[in-house]
Amino acid sequence: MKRKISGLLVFFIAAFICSCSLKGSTGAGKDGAAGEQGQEGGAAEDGASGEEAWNRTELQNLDSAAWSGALKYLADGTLRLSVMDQEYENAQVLDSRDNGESWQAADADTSLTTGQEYEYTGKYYSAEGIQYAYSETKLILQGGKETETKEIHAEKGERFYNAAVSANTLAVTVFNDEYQQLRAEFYDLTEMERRQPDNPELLEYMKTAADFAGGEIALDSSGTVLYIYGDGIGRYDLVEDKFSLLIERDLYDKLMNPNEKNGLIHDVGLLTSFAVNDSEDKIVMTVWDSISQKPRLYRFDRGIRKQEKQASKDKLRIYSLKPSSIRYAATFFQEKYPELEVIYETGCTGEDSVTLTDAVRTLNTELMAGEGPDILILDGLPGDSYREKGILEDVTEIVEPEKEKYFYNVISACNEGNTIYQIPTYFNVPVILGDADVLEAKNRDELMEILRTKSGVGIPFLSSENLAEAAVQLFAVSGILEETADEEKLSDYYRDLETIAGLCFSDGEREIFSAYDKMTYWAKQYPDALFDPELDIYFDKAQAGIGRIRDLGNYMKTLSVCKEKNLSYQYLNREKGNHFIARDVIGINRGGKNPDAARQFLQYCLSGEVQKKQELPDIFIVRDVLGGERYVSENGEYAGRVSRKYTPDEIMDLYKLTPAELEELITFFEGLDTRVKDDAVVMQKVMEQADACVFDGKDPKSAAADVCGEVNLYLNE
Amino acid sequence: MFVLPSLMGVLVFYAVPYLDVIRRSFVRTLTGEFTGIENFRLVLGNPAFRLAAANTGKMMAVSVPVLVVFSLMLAVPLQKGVPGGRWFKSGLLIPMAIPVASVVLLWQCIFAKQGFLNGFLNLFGIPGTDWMNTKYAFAVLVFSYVWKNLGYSVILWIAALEGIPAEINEAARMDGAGEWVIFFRITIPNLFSALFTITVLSLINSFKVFREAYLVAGDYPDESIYMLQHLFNNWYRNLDVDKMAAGAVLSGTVLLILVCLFWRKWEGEEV
Repeated sequence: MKRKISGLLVFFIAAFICSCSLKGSTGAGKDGAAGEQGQEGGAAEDGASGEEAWNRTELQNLDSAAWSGALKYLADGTLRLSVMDQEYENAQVLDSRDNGESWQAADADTSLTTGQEYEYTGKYYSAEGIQYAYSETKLILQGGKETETKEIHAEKGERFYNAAVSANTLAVTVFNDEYQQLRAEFYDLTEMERRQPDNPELLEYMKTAADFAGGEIALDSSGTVLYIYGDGIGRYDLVEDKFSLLIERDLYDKLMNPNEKNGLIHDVGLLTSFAVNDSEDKIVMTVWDSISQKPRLYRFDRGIRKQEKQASKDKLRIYSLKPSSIRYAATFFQEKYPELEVIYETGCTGEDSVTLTDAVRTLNTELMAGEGPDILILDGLPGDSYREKGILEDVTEIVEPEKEKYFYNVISACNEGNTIYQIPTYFNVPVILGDADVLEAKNRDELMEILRTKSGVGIPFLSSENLAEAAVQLFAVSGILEETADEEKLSDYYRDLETIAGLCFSDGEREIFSAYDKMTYWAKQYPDALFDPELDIYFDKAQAGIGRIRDLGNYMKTLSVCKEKNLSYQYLNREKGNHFIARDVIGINRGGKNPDAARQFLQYCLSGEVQKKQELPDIFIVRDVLGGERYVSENGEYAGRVSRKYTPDEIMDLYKLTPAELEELITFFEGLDTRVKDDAVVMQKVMEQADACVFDGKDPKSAAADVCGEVNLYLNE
Repeated sequence: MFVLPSLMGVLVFYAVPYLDVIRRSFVRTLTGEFTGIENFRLVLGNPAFRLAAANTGKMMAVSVPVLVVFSLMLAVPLQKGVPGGRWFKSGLLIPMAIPVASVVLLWQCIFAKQGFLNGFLNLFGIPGTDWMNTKYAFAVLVFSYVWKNLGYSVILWIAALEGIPAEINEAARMDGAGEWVIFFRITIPNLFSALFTITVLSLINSFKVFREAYLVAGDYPDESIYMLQHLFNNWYRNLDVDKMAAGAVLSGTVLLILVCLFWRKWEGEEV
């Protein structure tokens, strides 16, 4: 009996252990190594079968359009868009008969929308040929050439927010300053008779709409349904006096979030206009791309999530610790290879409680378990440690045969020896701008000498707003941080920083200096935070500047000020090497599940195809991509103007680069040989104490001791 | 057969993983390449490991004796029965029932720069300090450890005290022995077996104090409370599994030697 009971016991234990391990393996199989934290998004669509979804399509870019105006579906399904140039002039009306895939110029009178100077914030052309323009207090509209111009005026204490015209209806949103509320009004265009709906659901919704970027509105082709962007996209039927939500807030947020599945590709600054077709299964919107500073067009089609992707067995997992511009490459790669499921994961989005350390730990667990992603974006990850541990695959054979194509010196500097494991897809270069004396300085000591000789001439050596960028860059290229941080050198650095700050600030400025301009904040944003010193120099706010060459737009500014002030630029602290900051560094996980797709993706990233579709900040590693009509012309024509951040009235003209100037820049990049050691933990600690020295009068020696006490423990690990 | 379930549990969850850790300490984990004692050399040459090991040793050397002695001092009167003793005993166990996260919150409220303790000291004109980010952090951690484990140790001591036959004490009293003599000559020698158990448990629990240190001060606390587990935790971030394995083998070996020495000493006393 005893034996039987014991046998049973052993059987149950064995069965329990087996079931546990089975559960574990099933879980791993289903979820893959997607990880429990962070977010997947961008490229893949792996929702539940049959789930209703709005599928995103990015539409053709309108290169001639700097600003987009009204967007509208006509009754025959034609999509109509009005656009303007950079100066808010030269309005054009474009039609698309394939839902925004292609555009043709429409035969439209735009006289009203072009002659109103800057008085009107919105100048539009409606579907039926009615032109309208509005300011905060006045709206004018005209039904065609030589027809009577009608006007409506906002009441006292009220402002027009938005307007839309369709068929015989004019809809406006009006903001009441006293009650801080937005409401919708409708006008019959024949009689100009006003109607204010009192639908309680609409009124409630309008309260929230004011909080969302101005509460954009759109009318359907018959002018009987109003769509309002607010807490989602609201839908108000004028005839039935009925309010409902076309898209709820959560879904809308997902569609707008570049990190979400099916979300927009670009980082959206602002929704500028939208249109809904009459069957309400298509929404087209123009959004403001904050990176390339131009409008983007997207269409969302209501439908069912595509089933075939679920059946797909080939997956490519791309992992980035923080949001990265490789996401664009992932999205475009997915579009190019629809049979492959591309999953883009962000370990730490900042939108939940997952910290960077948590995210790295989870990733390491996956890597240890052989369930890691195929592609690793190594920014913020211990790339060198991964290489030493044999996690990264040797990709020399991918890049070396075409080494002339790349800034290979930059790639080499990110790797030891002749074997390539890490490929920086972008980089930027810390530089100092100044006269010949300033550029003579090969190190910080020499720079400090020159700074002293140049003080007392009435113009500060650096502008106070440039201090944080200068502090961060001077530290990054200083060589203070080797195996550990050198306390003595750090103390000298703090002392120099105090000297620089003493010459930067005018009386009393230091006490009221904004926290956002201080070094701690700058370090938190490093290396994303940027400051362009060119305009400070141009407008005599500084004699020199410390910044970064990061794209041709920014280089145009550098050249403009150099020509005007007879200055030049040079690598910062070049005695220690010609430094660059590597961005979006790609490595392939040797233990990845899909090595072929990973290699293919890397080759795609290096092909320059992404840059043709999406302009990104920083210098791309492929040499040929540097250029383009937007920035380079034979004679260096006028390219636009730029205003100073702190004094917007001060404007500097920009000119395109000549081929010779571009060649000079390429040669400059070819001289780069040292990657900046950008350790976020160290940078943060160093800059906290830098603020303590500069703004709280802390002794540099004790500040350096405090930093070294903390960071050397970390660096010794 | 009856020990088989426990044995299997120990094998599966402790012995086999530990053997794997020992194996890993001699190889490069991700490639499996044999490295000999290279990992140990790296670990022993690492200043962070030396600091963490020293701090962990210091923590054990200070907190375990304090806990053992202090809990015994409380257990003796409680076992004899003092008014309100039962309530007091129950109260001593409360810290064990409080989740670490709540304890940490409590510590932050008390020991933060703007916390209760500094507020209290300010009442008497004594300037406060940042307790968790200065050398006082070690004292705070020792206090935290003793506070958390005191009740458990007291209960163990009381159980051991209950096991001493009352007749022996009676006989000693009859022979004219005072309370101190009884305590040192009769009670203490009879508690040696319990002392072994309590000391070993306290040693093991002293390792767990890392949780509080980590939650209060994060990855990089004040140097004085930078423990081995901080280091292991941070090594994992860099995927330094080889170092972790070697470090774990080293610290496990030291702990084993300590326990064996203590065991031997106890065996000697028993004989």
